[in-house]
Parts: sequence; structure tokens; C-alpha cells
Amino acid sequence: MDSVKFGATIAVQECQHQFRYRRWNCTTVQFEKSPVFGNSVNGGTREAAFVHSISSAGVAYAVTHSCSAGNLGRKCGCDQKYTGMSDDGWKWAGCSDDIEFGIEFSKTFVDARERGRKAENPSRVVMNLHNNDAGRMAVKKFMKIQCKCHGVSGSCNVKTCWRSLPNFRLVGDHIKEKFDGATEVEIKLIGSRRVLVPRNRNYKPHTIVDLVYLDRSPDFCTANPSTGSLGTQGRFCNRTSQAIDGCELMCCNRGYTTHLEARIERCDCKFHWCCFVRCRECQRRVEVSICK
Amino acid sequence: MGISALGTRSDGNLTTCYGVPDLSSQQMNVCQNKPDLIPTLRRGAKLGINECQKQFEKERWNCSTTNSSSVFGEIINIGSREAAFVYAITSAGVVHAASRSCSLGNLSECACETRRKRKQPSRGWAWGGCNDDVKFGVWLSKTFVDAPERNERSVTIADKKMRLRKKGRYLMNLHNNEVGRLGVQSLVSNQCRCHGVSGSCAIKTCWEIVPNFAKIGDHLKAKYKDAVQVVYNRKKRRIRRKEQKRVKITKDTLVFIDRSPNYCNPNPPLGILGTSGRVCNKTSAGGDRCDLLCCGGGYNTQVVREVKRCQCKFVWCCYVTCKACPRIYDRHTCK
Repeated sequence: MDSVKFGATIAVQECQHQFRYRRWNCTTVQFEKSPVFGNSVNGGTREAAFVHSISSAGVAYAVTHSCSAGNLGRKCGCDQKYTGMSDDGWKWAGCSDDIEFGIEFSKTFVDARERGRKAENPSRVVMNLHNNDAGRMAVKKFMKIQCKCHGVSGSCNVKTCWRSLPNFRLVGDHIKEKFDGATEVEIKLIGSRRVLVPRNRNYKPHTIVDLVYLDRSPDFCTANPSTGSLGTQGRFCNRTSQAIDGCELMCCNRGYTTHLEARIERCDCKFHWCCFVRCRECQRRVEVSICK
Repeated sequence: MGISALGTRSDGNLTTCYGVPDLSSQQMNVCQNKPDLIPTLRRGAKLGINECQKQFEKERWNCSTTNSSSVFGEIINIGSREAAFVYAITSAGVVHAASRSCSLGNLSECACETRRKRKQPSRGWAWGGCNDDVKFGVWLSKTFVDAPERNERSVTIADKKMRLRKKGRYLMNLHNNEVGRLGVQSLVSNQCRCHGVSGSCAIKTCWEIVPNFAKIGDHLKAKYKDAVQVVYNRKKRRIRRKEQKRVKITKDTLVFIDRSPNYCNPNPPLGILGTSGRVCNKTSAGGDRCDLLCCGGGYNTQVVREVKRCQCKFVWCCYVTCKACPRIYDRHTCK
């Protein structure tokens, strides 16, 4: 259960990192209350799609990580599929991260919550399940092979490799990109099955790795508890940027105040033999803009 | 901006200015007295609008024109950076078109420019050929394009705030028109030709030409980026910088009064179309990058199949055969 909590934490951190310059910065009321996903963002919006996706990715990631660390006892460990010699002449060795187990675990654990809520809003469940899957696919996509050389004085006579989890930032970047290009879908009944189809048939149909959403997002300009929006009053903005982090867009035309703030930074650092570094403290004045 | 209206009229051979909206009485006078200038004025305005759209193709405000009489929509009534550019490029367009018309012999008012006494170059070549008459172009732009803005002294609006606003705006427009004209003048260059035996340069003559209009567009786009915000100084009846009040505004700096709207969301009364539906590029470094162009709102993806002619071969004699190469790619448009 600890690894699940860890998964949720890295998901929240990643979400807040990816959305730090946007009007909705991943700090909704519900999200704060329950960092262990589930009812985090309840709507059918693009933001909710991201949250579900990154949460299920976070759990898969954290559980896989714990497996390799041996924290989950006999339930899982290193991926035993990778043994012997590879075609390229190196040897599988060390502990390959067992992402398949992490994904399976995330599927049973995270998706179970959704399946339990089928009665309330069946369409939303289909959407969430799809986005959960997309998140897990993102982790799998970035699995990498790491190698080490064991020859004399570091030469690569003997090389061993293992499969390893990517940096979670890569997964976050990828899911954020999917968020930007997410597909607006609606539910279509085929027999008794609910299927997600693009709302506009001219658009490219989504695949298993893409995010989907049912409802358009609010503009997140003003606080509104029902949509999980805190508004952008008091948010920092960038006076010179044209993008969404720029004061113009971030503050929704309400204007902003700018003041100079003194920041103390370490500077002129010097290395002294042996072995410490001495720095001076410099005061730097930075311009800070805040939305009205 | 009566001049832009002249540029977007679709009727081919317009010989009078009747029915063209928003022309001032001085402009109507020019039309009446010198009707042969009308096609040149139209070409100038068209040049300006087309270049504006080319320069801003990849930005949120893409210099789109509407069917309204004000051509660019009410947006032009905001004294923004974009309005500054529109005025400068239109005024430059007229200079360019008129200068070319002169040397092509299309106008009775002017011909090849000869008035200026130039020092003969010391060696190697001689002035000859036909100089584009930039002077005439500048004169025409001043008389016609500046005309509506020349009423600064006679603005009679009861509301004081509105009156001052209008006065400031006139000065802004005049200043930017001049920036456009100076732009053309500063880019005038020499074109030379050699007349020696078998093309050798034993005899070389040179003449002055106005540059390709795209160059003027690039020049003014750079000025647009460095434009300076100004306010109207009532006492001195001129404009001054909003910040750094003491620093003079140079003659080649574009000026604007109002901050630009963000052009993200549609605003029909202002004629802002918004960026929804605009084609964006996921990886571009410019203004058409999806997150910039779509204002953070995300994009839709369409699969587009495009057939292009390719592997063309010349077959004796005399035709060209090509293959049809289909290309399938993802096109992104703002949500």
C-alpha cells in the first residue's frame, strides 16, 4: 500500500509540474483532499483525463519500482523473462524492472475503483478506464535498457544489461503532449457495449495511447468549487510571455500588479583545497507579477 | 482607413472612388482630379494587405480582413501595435506601387525620376536607365493616405476624453504612415546592367529601384516587434513615450497607444475571429506552435491525404510526365 501512496505522490508532483504555468495548476480542492486519486477530478474534462492517466501511470511506476527493490515480498521481484544472452552479444543480468506486473497491479487496483462506480456515470467510467490505460502505456513506452561494462579497466568485454524504468518526467511530458492533443469523444452504444467515438468524425480517431474527454473544460479564470477551479487570482504570471503563462492570458484580462522582489542567491562560489566550497550571498532584484 | 477599402474592392476597373466607404473629402478630391491614380492606389493598398497577411500568417492575429467597410474590422479602431503595422504597411504599399507605376510609364503625373542631380560616380559605371520615382510615391502616399489623419486640429467631439483619444490616434497614424514611407526610402537600391562586348562590364549603367515588397514587409515586421507605447501630450500636442518619457521617439519607430487584445477568443463586435480552427505546428519555434497559437486550449488532429506531382520527367518532344505521389500526414488545428 505504501508503494501505491508513493505512486499517487509522484503523480501529483508530476501533474503540478506539467501544469505549473497553466490556469488550472493541478491544485483542485478535491485533489488536495484525496491525493490517492479516484475522485480526484470528477469531471469529464481534459484535465480529468490527464489526472487519471498520470495517476494510473504513477501507480504502475511505483509498484514496479518497489518490486525491483524487493519491498513487496514474494508477490513480485525482478522480471524473470529477461535471461541469457541477447542477439547483440551482451548478457541479461541485474534486475530488470517488471513493468508488466506494475501494469497489471495498476489495472486491478486503479481500475477497480472505476468499475465500482459504473452505476453512477457509466460514460465517465469508460472514459476514465481508457485514460488509465493510456497512462500505463506511456510508462511502458519509455522503458529503456541500461548496460554496464565489466571488462578489464572498464572495457566492454563483458557487458550486462537490464530493463529499467524511465525517468518519470519523460512519462509526464508524454502524457502532457497527449493532453494537448486529446480527442473530444462521445459514447456510442454498440449492442450493450459503450464505445468512445470522436465527436467530430473528421478528426483522427484516438488510439489506445491517446487521451479522450467528454466535456469541454471551463476557462478556470474564476474560482468555482463545482468544477474544481480555484481561479487565477494571486497567481504568478510572466509579463513578457505570449503563451498561457503570460499575464495577459493567465489573469483573464483582470490585469496584474508588478513589484520588485529581492532574492538572495549564492554566487561567486569558489572551491577551496581540500575540500569545501565557499560562496558569497548576492541579492538579486527580480520582477514579480501577480494576477489581480 | 479608406485606402484599405480601395484595396479590397473586387470590381476590376474601378475608375472612380464613388461607393468606396470611409474615404475622406480630400481623398475624394484626389480621386476626382486624378482618376488615373486610382488603379495605382488600389494596387498599393492590395500590396500592403497581402504582405500584412503574409507576415502575420503564423500569428494569432493574422491580418484577416472582414467584409466590413473598415476592412480589418473594428479591431483597427484600437490603437494597437497591429494597427500601427497596418498603417505603416499600407502607406508603404502606396509608395511602392506609385514609384513602380512611374517608371513603367503608367501615370501621366510622373515618369522616370530625373529631378535629383546626382554626383556622377567616380569610375566604372554611369547613371542611366530609369529610376523608380520614390519621391512621387512618397508625395502620393502623403497626400492620399495621410489625408484623413490631417484633421487633428479640427476634431470636434464634445466628450473631452474621446476628443483627446482621437487626437492621439491621428498622430499615431501619421507617425506610422511616415515609418512605412521611410522604410521604402531606406531600402531603395541600385540595379545595374553591363553593356560591354558579350556581356562584359566595360560599360555599366545603374539606376535606382524600390525593393521587392517582401523586403519592406520584413523591415516593418521588425519595427512592429520593437514598437513603442506612447501617450498623447495635450499641452505640446504631440505624442511621447509612455515609459522613459524623455527619450525621443525616432522617426523609424512604430508607435501604438493601446495594449493589444490577446486575439485568442472570438469577439465578433471587434472583428476578432479567435484562433479556433487555425492550423498549428506541434514543433515550430515560431508563433504557430500549437500551445502558443491555440492559447493553451489544445488542438484537434486530422489525417490529411494530399496528392502531389512528383518524379517529373521531360519526354522528347515536348511534354512532361509526372507521377502522383500521395502523402498522408497529421494536420493539427486549434480547438
